[in-house]
Amino acid sequence: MSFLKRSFFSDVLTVVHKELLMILKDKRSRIILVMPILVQTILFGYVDTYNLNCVEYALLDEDKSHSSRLLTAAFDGSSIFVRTATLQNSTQIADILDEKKALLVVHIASGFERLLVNKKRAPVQILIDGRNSNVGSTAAAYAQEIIQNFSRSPAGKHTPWISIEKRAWFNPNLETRWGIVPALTALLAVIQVLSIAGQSIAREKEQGTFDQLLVTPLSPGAILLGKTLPPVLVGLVQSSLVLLAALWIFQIPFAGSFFLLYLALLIFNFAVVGIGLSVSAFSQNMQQAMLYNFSLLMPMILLSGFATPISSMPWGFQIATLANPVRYGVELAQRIYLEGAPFSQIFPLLWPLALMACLGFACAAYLFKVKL
Amino acid sequence: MITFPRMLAFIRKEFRQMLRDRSSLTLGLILPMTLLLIFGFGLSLDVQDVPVDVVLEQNSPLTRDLFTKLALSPYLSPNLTSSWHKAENDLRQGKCQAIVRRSLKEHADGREHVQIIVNGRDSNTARIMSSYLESAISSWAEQRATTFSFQSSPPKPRLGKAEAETRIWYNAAMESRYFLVPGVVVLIMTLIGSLLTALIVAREWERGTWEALTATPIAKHEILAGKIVPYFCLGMVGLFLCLAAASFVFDVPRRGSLILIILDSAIYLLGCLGLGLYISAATKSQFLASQIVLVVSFMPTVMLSGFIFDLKSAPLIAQYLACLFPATWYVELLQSLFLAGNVAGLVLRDTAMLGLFAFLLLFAACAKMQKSLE
Amino acid sequence: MEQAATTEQKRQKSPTMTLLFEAQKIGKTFTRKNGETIEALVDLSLKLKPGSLIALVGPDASGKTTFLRIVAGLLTPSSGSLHFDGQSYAGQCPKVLSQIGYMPQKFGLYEDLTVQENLDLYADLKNVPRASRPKRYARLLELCAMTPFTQKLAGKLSGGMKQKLGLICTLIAPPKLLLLDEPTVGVDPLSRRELWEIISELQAESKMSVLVSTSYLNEAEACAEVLLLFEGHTLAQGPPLGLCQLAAGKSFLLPANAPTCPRDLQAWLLDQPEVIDAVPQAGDVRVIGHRNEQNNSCLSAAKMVPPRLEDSFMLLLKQQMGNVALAAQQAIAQVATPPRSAQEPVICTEHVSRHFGDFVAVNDVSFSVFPGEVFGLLGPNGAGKTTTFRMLCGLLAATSGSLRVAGIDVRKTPAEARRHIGYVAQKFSLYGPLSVLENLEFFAGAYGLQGARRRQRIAQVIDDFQLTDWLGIAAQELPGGWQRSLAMAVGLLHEPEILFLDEPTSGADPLSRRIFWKRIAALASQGVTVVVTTHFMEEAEYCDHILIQDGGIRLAFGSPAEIRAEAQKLNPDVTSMDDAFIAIVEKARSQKS
Repeated sequence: MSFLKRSFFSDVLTVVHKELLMILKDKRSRIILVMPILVQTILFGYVDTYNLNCVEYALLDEDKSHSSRLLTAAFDGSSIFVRTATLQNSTQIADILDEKKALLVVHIASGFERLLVNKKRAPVQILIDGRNSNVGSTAAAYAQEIIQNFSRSPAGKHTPWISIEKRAWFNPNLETRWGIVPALTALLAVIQVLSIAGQSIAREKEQGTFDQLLVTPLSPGAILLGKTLPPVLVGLVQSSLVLLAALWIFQIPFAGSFFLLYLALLIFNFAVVGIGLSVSAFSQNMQQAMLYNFSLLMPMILLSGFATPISSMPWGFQIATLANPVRYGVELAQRIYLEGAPFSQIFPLLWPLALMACLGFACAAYLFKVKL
Repeated sequence: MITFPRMLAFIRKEFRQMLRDRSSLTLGLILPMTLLLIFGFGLSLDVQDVPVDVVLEQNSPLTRDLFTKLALSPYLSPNLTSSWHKAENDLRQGKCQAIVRRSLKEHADGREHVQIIVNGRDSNTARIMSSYLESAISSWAEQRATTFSFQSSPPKPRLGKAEAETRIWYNAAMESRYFLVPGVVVLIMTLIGSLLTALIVAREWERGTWEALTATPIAKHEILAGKIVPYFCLGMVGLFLCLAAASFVFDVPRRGSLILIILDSAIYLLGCLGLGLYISAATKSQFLASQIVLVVSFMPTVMLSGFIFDLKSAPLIAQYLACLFPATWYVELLQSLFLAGNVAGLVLRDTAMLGLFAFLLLFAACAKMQKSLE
Repeated sequence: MEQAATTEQKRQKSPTMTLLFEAQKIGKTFTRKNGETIEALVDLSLKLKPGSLIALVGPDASGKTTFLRIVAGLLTPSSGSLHFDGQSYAGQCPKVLSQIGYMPQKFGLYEDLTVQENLDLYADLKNVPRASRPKRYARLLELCAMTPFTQKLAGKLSGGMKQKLGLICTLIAPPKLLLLDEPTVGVDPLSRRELWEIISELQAESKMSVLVSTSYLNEAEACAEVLLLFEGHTLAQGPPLGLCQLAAGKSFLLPANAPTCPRDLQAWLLDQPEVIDAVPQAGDVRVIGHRNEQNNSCLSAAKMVPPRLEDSFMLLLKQQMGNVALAAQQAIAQVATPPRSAQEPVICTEHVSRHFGDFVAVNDVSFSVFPGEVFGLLGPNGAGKTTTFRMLCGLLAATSGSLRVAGIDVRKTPAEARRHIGYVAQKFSLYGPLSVLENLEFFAGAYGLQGARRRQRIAQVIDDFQLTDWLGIAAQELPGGWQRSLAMAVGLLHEPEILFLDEPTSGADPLSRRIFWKRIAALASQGVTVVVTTHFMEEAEYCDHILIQDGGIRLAFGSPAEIRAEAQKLNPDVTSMDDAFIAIVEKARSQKS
């Protein structure tokens, strides 16, 4: 059949078309590719915040003086503190905190006003539930600020000879959401891109279609590439959904270039698919592919710097994150989105990803050929 | 209708299959270890040794003095630079977390002008950094006010100063590890409980073993028991590993009763197993089941349970939504049992909720486990 | 109350007491996703006495499996009633189920458990008392000669062994009623014979009744009663001898004379108006038809023979299906056979071996296949047929030896060789969720067909295989027979020079097998080389050459007539291909041990 002019390109397209059909044919899987992404973006955008905008507190005012009422009013008047209980004596404190009825207790001991009038230090006890140390320390800082402001001389905020100006670049109000939602463009897609790539070869093995595919004259390269592009496409579509939510629902200003963002996401998705395909070629059946992929996914997400800063990790873990594609994806998405980083600045993040993509494919191709 | 030897035989079979499959052991034992390692040693929300660039555009003794002051802090590791451009680049690339800069231009009223610039990308660190730097600089300024005596000393206060005296309960050292490690227990229970079981009924459908099984006199609650017991045991092994690691490796205090922790974990695990089996029996497809479990069980556990992110600041609707996931109750319960002690009211309420979830989910799984091909 | 009283009376009066099982007017309807209802069974009635053996036969989708599932309590009938030992039941009823053994078509062995573990599990599931187990195990394992393999993983057994293991798992607690759904599909004649020996021996021991569905009509012929189903309706019911009489006076044997091969003669006969059916048999052609004494019929030279069950079966089915079947057969255009000249062989293997670790799957096998030949690869389960097959298709590398397919060295350039071959796997292996058309389009692309030629080829195979009505249906939802057609259509899309077919007719009813072989004959006459494996030994008659393999070694090679002659030397009673095969394999095995 030498008259059949075979071109690599059309072979790849053929496989891509089939893979897309396999992924998108079932209505249930179409839903599972779109709905969770949207729900999670919205949910995490609203829920996942380190900004404390509501601190429930309980008051124990043993002084019951003018000053203590003023201080109480300062707490109640703040937009953050919400009083959930007013205590009568200090034996109640333990109960309130234990049962999580309040995150902190403000305890004004009797003699508070007297100490103030006598120009002495007047302590106010803040008892905090430290079970979540992060929330606890943030709440403590807020309470301290209110108490400091209360006793600050009206003359000025700082000592007069200096003025301090605080500025946060790229996120002036320091909203957690501004950091998280752009990061989600890369992060959320990983989960399903890895799953789709992971099952693509394993499923053919389990269902016996692999042989049928291999007896066709398609070259292993064309099959592999054909299996790569669909999850990459799905990943880009999912990222776009998150991007739209970031722009329209959360109204986070986009500072960078869309071209660069998509270039970064593209390379990122290739790197992730490379890992997924390697696992898939290695696994004997779908169950193995899914479980191994998941065992990789968890550490990759946790060590991405998404939930906790990489700079707070110990040295060894910081080194380990260098081999984690998700780390680069998250940082790229944030930097392009929020900072508008130009190509020259993101290049140091792009080349490791590109390298990982190449290694991933070399590995997948090797495993794939070994099976032949 | 339960025939004991028959049920035992089925349990034995599930055990064998579980133990023979390397991938489920990877997920059941190796992943928990990795997670413990990551959460116990790797992840931290605590800010320390943060690199800060101090920009020194004119070599003034004042700026040098400020630098020395900042360098004394255990939280900061300041770095002196003369180039504004370099500092800006460092901040963008994450090489430094904040910039402190003395402004060149004099303030209109003749006061010194100091800028603190942070990168808002990681808002949590940025917020902590900027307030920390602010207080460090202002305390420095107070000290120096007399030494340099730029202006008249500050006006005498009319009143004494109210001072916050902060006491952190349950976690005085503010170690984030103390709440992350109990959190890992929740994650691992969820993973073993729902992800592994989501595959095992669907697998029997996909591999065609379901038909022969249903044609035997085995009752559906016996099948349910057979599917639950091995993974329950695997989950409990995971739990004991975590508990041992929490006490001996990570020194997390355990102020509540060990028995309560184990009991409540068992109840939660049963709920997860019920959820996994229900999804598996309902979808009959391994791929779909695993995706659904990720969405309805795993992601909410990480994001919505209060495990990392506090729920009180979330919109009300999200808080109500979170109540629908057993993980939310379990996280609260475990953190309390580890760090606070046996808080009667909270433990009772949360245990009751977990029990309710476990009952409903197991019931649903049993109902869905139909022994017919229709 | 009153009703209960009357049934009680009835039970005492009527001979139901002696009946083990009775199904009365069972009906079953399914609703498809699109709201369409399908009648899978209509008013099926059946009575079973203890110790009886009844066969269910019928083409694809005739309701055999549905009925067995209803009896096993896995489906609830839409109408009608079921009685077991005088007790009425429908759906799950533990008391009844514990006395019924059911072996589904795809038996649920746990492949990651060992043989012994599978046995233990089913013994426990069926509450077999521990004390009686060792004896029962020993007996069953001995019956199927599996005693040495108890510690082997079930997944590592060959197809025939798996089937035997499935059977003894079902029989571990002696059931009063045994239900078998196509127990012999994909099983070689030797194992098939063994399976039936196990069943009949156990039946003699314990008086159990057996209800078996099968597509082998010679198996059905050995049963006490046969039930012929067609689209859920009962076409015929009765003892096989009685059913055979339907074809009395219509069965003939026509000898094929030297230059014409039986395959071509059969193809020609099938196109004759007075012929209902024709099939090669031991060098001749068996014909069912109306001999019309007046005109010079093609049957005038034929010898009348006693009818067999398959003849009646074909007769009844063709009456029912009428034009549909006819159209399917006639869609295959018959081309006059071009003269076969001695050409270069299109497949040539020399001293091919394949090792898996220490295990030698194929040991020093050599053979050649010439263009336009139908080549049969026969052997018991686990004989190394599939390994040979996979090596020829380039799916597996040979450990040593040379393999040339279409003049290309498969070991060196497998991709190049694949362009010339079409491949139809044993198990349905197209993309289930994709529709028929999508599958065709994908494989057309995969074989590099483009533009007008692609459209033309797709249209052609759709037409050839009459797939027009199914184009939009997902491949996994097609009835079994159509799945086989689709797989063939895919294999032929790119007009391959060589077509590899791995057990293409396993589980197929005689009717679809006729259509299949007619198509193969047509292809061979067009010069396509066909390599086929099969467990239906009478199908070996269609082949030009046969290779019999066992234990990875070549046992016999030659034309069907030569093989039969060789077997006759071993055992003069051999007449059919089935017997010849068994004689040759058993001889080789006895020599080995």
